Amino acid sequence: MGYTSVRGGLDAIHHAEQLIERTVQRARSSIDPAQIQSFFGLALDRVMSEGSLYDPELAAIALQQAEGDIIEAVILMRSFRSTLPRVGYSFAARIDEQRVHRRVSAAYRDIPGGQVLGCTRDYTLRLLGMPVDPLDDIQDQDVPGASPAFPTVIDFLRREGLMAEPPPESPEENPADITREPLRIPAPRSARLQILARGESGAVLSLAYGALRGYGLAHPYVGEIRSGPVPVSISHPVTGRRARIGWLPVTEAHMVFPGSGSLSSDAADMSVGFGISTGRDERKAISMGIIDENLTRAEGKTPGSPIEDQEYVLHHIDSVEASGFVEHLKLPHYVTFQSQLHQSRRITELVKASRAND
Amino acid sequence: MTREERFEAIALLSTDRLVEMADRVLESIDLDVTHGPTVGLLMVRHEEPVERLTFNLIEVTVTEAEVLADGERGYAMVMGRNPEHALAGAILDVAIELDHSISSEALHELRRAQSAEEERWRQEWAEVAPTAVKFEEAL
Repeated sequence: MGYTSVRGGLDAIHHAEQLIERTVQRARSSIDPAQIQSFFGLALDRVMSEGSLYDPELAAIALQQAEGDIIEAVILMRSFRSTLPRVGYSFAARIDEQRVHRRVSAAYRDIPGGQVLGCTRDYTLRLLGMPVDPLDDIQDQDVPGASPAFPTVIDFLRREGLMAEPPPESPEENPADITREPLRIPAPRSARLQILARGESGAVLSLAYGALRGYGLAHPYVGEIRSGPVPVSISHPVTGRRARIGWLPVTEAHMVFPGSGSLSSDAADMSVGFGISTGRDERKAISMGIIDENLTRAEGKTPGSPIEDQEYVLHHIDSVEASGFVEHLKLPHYVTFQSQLHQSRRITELVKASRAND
Repeated sequence: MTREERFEAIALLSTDRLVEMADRVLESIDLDVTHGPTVGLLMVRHEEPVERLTFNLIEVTVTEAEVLADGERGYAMVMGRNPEHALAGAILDVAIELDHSISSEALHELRRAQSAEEERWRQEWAEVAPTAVKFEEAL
């Protein structure tokens, strides 16, 4: 594919810039980023998750500037991120440190800690509602005790011998960082998880849906979904001990996949695909868990479908890369298209000449 | 209050209150700002629970600052972009380390911030707890 520089059109570009700037200014005069933070939390979750940068204030500004276009806001977040130095790494947060706001399991009814529905639309009617008066505050609730412990379903499966114990040491000494090193296929699982976690929600959902419809493994079960903040901790530079700087809201999905059902198989042959999203994007967390397990089970094998193909999945779910490539088609391709025209005209002439000779 | 608890509480305290106390500290001690305040990115790592595999989840914006006074280091880091908060936090941190006259008041404020945080979590749980399912057994 060839490109050529194009001269002219600067006045038109200048006016187009002004037009979009005026549109954004109108939005800024009528809605404040703080309001966006209050009302569009789930949209901001996507902007931050796919933008790979947690900062609700910045995400609100980005979404406003992008007129609500999430992919455009993600591009703004990624661009901003590239201007800042990295000051360090946190300790790895574990799910047992989470302050649980919601935890449900579709696999076990009676689960220690209970099924806690939390803030969800799962049980509401999906009907368009007109604005109504605000609800009264909930009154006369028993004051609950402290939050109970929420052991994971993975713990149960291991206790029953249905799932393998974790390896004694982490399978990877240092996690890959796809923001610093180019992706190489086959990618280590740490790279896969990082890419999936910042993948475009719709793309991740679409691939997972395809897997469920037959292009992937058997129907999995939601072992559990849990939402709530996990601590962000660093090594204190003076004492060297672990110290918390704040909390990061996350949603995890542990997708349980049945084993082969064969008597010759390992007894502990159930497995769990892991999905996570920052904020409350459950759809993405579940989808990621499905994709994770499909990719893990396909390791070292010839992919039987796109969902098992690392190269297909990992190279096509990033919204910035995908939108950049697709939208570049809007840019002038005058020379390449002229070449196509020339070729088509020549072929047409040859065909006509050939028919005339017949 | 341990140094780490103090560090966590400084992040919780309101910027205005922190700056007000830090300004008073500066009236009585000389210090050098040895780092920042700098806005940067902290890569947040997470542990996947199946293989207990650590991976890089997402970056967060943070602001950090470090000061030096009488051979003691004061340090603060907060989530978000807030240079005032980080610098004032580092100043208050070193002031407490040096047993400055503001220490008692500052520690009191920090404990209040810790308590407020605990109360906030209790309130969150109080809203969530009624959504716990109580299954009815069919007879």
